[in-house]
Amino acid sequence: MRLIAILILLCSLGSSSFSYALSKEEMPVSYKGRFRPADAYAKLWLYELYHAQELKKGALESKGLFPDSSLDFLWHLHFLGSSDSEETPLFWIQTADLKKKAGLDLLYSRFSYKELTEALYHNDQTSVQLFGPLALSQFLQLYTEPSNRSQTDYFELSKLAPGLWLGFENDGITVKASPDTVPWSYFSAGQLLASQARQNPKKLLAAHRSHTEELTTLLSNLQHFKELTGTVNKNEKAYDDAFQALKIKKIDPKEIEQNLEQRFPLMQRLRSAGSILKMLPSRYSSHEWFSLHALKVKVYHPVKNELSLVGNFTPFSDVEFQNIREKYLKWEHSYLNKEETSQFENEFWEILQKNYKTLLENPYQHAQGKALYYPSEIQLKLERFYYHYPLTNGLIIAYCLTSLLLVFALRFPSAGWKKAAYVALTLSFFLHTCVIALRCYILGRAPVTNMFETVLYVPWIAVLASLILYFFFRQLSLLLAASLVSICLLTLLYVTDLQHGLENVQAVLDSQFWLIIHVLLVVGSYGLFALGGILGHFYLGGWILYKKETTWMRSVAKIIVQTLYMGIALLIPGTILGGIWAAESWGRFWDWDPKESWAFISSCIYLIWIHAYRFNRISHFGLAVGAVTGLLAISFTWYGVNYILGTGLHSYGFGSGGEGLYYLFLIIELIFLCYALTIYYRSQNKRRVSKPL
Amino acid sequence: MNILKRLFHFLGGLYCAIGLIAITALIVIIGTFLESYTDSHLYAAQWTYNHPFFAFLLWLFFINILFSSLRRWPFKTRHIPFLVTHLGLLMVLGGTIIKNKWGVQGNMVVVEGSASQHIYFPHSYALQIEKKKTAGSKTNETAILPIRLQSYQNYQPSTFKDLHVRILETSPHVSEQLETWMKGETAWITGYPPFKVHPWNAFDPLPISSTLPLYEQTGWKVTALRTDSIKEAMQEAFQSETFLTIHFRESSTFAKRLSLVDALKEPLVLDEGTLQTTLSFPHSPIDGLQNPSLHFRWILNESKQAETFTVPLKGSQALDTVLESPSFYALPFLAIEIEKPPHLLLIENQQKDTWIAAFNGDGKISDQLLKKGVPETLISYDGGFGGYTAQTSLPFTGRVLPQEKKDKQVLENLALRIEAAMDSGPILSPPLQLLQQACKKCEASLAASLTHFIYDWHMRYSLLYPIEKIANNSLATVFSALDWESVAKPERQALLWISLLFEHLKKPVREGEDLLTFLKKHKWPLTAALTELSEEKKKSPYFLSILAQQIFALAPHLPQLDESLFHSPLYQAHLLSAYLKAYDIEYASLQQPSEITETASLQLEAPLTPVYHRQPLLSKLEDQRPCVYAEVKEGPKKQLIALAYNPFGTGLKWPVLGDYLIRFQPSYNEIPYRVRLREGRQINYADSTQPYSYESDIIISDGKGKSFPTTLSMNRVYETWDGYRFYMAGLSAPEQQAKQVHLVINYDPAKYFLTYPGALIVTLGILLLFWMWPYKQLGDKR
Repeated sequence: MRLIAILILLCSLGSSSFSYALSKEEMPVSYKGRFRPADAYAKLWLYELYHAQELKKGALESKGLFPDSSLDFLWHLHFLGSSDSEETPLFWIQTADLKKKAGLDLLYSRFSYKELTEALYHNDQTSVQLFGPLALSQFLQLYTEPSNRSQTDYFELSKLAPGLWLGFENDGITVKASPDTVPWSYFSAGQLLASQARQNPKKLLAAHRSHTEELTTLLSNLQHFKELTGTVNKNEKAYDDAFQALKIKKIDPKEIEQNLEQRFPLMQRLRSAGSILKMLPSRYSSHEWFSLHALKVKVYHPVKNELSLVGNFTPFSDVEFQNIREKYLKWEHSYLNKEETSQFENEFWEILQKNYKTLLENPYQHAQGKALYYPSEIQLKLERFYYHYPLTNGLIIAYCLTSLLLVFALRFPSAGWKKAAYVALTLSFFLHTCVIALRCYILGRAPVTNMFETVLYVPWIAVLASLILYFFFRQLSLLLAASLVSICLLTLLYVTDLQHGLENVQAVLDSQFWLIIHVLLVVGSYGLFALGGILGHFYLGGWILYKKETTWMRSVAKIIVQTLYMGIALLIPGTILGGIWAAESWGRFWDWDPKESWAFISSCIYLIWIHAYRFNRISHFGLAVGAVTGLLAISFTWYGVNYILGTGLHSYGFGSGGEGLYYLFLIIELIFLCYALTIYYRSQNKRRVSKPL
Repeated sequence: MNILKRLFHFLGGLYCAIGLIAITALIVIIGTFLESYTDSHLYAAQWTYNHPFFAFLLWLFFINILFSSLRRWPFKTRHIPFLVTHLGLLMVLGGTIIKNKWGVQGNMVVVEGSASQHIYFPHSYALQIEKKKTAGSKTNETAILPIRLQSYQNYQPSTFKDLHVRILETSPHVSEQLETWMKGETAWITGYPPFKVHPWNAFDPLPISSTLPLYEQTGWKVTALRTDSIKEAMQEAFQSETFLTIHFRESSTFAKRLSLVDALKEPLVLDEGTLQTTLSFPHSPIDGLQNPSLHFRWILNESKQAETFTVPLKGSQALDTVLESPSFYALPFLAIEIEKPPHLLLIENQQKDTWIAAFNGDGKISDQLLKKGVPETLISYDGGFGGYTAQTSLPFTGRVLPQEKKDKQVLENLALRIEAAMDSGPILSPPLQLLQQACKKCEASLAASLTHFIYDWHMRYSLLYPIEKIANNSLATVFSALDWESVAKPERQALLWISLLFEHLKKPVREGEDLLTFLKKHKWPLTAALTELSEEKKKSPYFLSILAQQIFALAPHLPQLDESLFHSPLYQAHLLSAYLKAYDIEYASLQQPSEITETASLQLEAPLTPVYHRQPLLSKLEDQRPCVYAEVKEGPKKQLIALAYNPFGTGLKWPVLGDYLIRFQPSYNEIPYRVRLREGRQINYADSTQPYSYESDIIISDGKGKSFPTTLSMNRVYETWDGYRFYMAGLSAPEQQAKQVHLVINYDPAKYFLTYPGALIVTLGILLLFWMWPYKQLGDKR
């Protein structure tokens, strides 16, 4: 993997003027457990609330702001706070249901802070509609928890608001008491929130789940947004006031120091100095970074009996720290005064980067048998590159073009077309490899720990297998099938909202050796089965078209056999080795967990077809049917277990959504199969040949 | 023979294989959907993976694979991949069977700092029996007795030879409820005979269940009710047999006694005015009684002027009559005493929450809500062998002092405070200097004289001390020694003017007229400063102090008054009070709100008994709580006991036969290693709550005194030399202070020579199948 990454680097070195220094877009920011380049951070941050990685052109123009990028917008928020963008539609709401409850225009999907707070906190009607289900879900959550053994049927929802009580009254759920703060003051004691709730509380809970999740996210986004106050800091003001009050009373400096530290612990103040763009490492706990505003935190100096700027809290040397602060303050000053900033800014980044380099050698977090390092400069650069260009979309286009070429090559067979198509597929594959390698290198692990990564990995395996098999079979439809697999799955990535970012691996999966062995084998088999499945469609489609087996179909069937063999050769060992991993890491070999069960079921289905074919009980047609049914089983193992069953121990890829479309897919496939079967039997009957299926 | 041969070929044949694979796959599919639908792995497993039919299928698989290999006898080269694969499958199957038979797989839960040697088998059933230590042994002996959930089963723990346990009946799912004060139709307080629980509807007369000497041997009326009208019941209990005594401070002799019910019914009409009484009794089903209080409204006949007083009934300020609106007199001129026979009220509502309220002889209320009867404090007698009781304690005082004594106490406190202040030798204000000099002459204490005088003045309920000789002898001598000559002349004049002015103010104050308008009407020159005062201060004694100070300022410009009054013994107290008034020294400004400390508490105990109610079955078997009804016998002694399943083995053990404790819990085994947890921790990724690693530092010690300190984490296992493996399976939530680690411990004798090699051989076999292309020829032939 490293080799490939270096290869990419060499390429980029050759192509562009590659400089080793980090640009300001590439400086690391601490966000959600990783240190990411600032540009990528800004995109992810914006996506969280805005649901797009860049602001729409002119979104902020009415405010006299023209941010070039999301990062610029973030720096604006950093220095000047959110108050001047309160009326800008920045908050994305997905469901019409929530918009309806909030009394918002259904035709829009983004709303401003002002509009939303109005609906949430100042309008009693919409407020009750929005917060009622939230309280209800909280209550049902507590009620249905297994720890509620004594079946208590009223609870204080202290997580939402202390003093808010909900309880059952006969079969309905009512508010028992509500605090005086908005929005809860809009609720009155005795207000009915749900009727007929006693029979199936879990169903009711599930019915409110999406509303609750969406609203909770929205609330935390609004809260986060409101806390962005720029250079004005309420905590620092309170600290200053407290100090002045103590000083006037002529209290002993030692006591002042103690009192202030007790009421305003320094760590707390450093932490709350700013919630975005955390770019300063801490020397006290290396996994915690602070906002640049922390440079301006003041502390009490008992000898001078006055407040002075905080001392060095970073792992850098004191001199460097002073230097960083000086440069930052200059930059801030020029920014706030709307002067030319680039000189100060560049100086600041230069010195920050110089110091960051010194941190790279040692791990910042130790754990038993493993350690975490800060990302290297190359990793940061590559990550920025990864986020900056729509790589997966590029892949889709590449595969589409390849398919087009392949169709041409099939329609008008000529050596030129054939060659062109083959080269195009190889190039697409190379690009695909680069994307995967990029992810591997940036994250330092195998690319198969969540749904997004597997959906990216499976078509890669399919294309790889097709390229290898092409050597033996020289069959263009094989390449077409592979690039169709890629198009289908990558388009799925594009249209669904899978977690697309570069994220950390779950603690449970953090075992490089087994992760590679087990997951790469099992998920790799999906790629082969997908290839086989598409070829099966070709074969069945051929039968529908020609009503007999042509030579082309014969050769396709031969490839199907090989893909199924290869798939099984990956799936069964992968599953069994997964059992050994489980036995080694968790102490059980096999537990009939749904994921395991479905891997077992898929294996069974393929084994049935392979045995039947091997012992001459079915012909090529049966094999093609087998490949398609097997693909359905695999699709359920892959998608259905995570999204439809949603239970079990393999919980790292669970999600929801898309069930309807999936069922539609199953139904279409079944209709297709039935149609092909009727055609097959009719043609068999016509020929009156009793051949095995 | 022919049949056997055909059977052999069928069992080892393709159709059998395909049929088996298909049926197994179908069962597993059903299993996964069942699990998803019920959210219960156990439920799904019970009908599928753990069903005997499934085991039968697995055996058929074993036979099928075995026979299909044998059918290929004599083996040829092209059979190798096939044979290797199937051999591997046989080994894996065999390994699983051996592990189930001879292996160990269990859970251990250890809290930081503690150690354990027991591994629990989740969802297994056993009775843990503990025998009380006898004279010979140091600790209690414990035994674990695995049982089956079936009626009429006899068990005999090997540790306790004489003990016999017979399961009489079982129930698959029950809910447990701990009963304390109310058990069915009777209510219990430990130490007293049980009494009856009455159902009650609001506005019924309140029944009395019993009379018990709960506190200071006085007879307490006790009522136990089962009702949902909590508030009404409490109010009824408070009102019944309660009497009010109303004292008027001005005339110390007059007092009126009447029942509270009457007082609430209609206003009390007296010569001077009318007294209205209302009771506020706010009750919330969640927080209980909140600030219950009696409100009085006294309306003077002449002026129709009203004064309102409040008597709080709960808390530390209880029973102090408080003025609701400010007045020139800091204390209300009404003192109200409540009298009632002490009453204890126990109420249980439909949801089985219990309220306990105690009303003492003064009508003071203390109450407590015990949710679902779960006690705040649990007392175990003799380590549980003597049973358990729930205890509650109500903050409580015996009868408080009568008003007069209470006032005296306040006075003493005041004197003490003044004395303490005098110790530091402060600069005294002129009136106090005057008094101090007089005290010195008579060798009296300044503090005592001052407090006595101020209290006396206050009890006269008058703006200045009336023009009369003071009754108290020692004070009288002090007053006769007052040296008015030491006071500057303008000040003396001012005092005389104050005396005159306040005489004129008496009437409007008494009639409740607004003093400011009165002063304006009579052309008082300095009203501007008075107007600026806040509304509250305008009605407080402070207003009069300001007025007195204004006179001090005006005195030089006023006509001379006759100073002979300073020598009259009648006027000494009166003039001194005027002097003090000007310096704002009086009862109201010195007094602090008195606080009665809760001196005692009413401790009540009730025996704790579990009650089990049969519940409809749950689809999630993991949450199901079975119950057994057992007969425990030892020699001639015999006892029946019902026990609900305790899934973590952490609940109470119930006493049985006096010498034993018993608990229905998962079965456990002792392993030859003892695990002590030093620390459990979760390491997160930077700046997030996403865990990077779960780790636990443990010490594993074997029976021979050897210890191995090690650190476990997810994916890092510790294995002892003889094959016991310790896995970290879970860690308690990060909020929890003392971390609890969930370990999985297993011992698999077959894994190294059957399961793992088998798995590798299958892998190899499948690769061979693919690599050696054994079917190529066949495929070509077709």
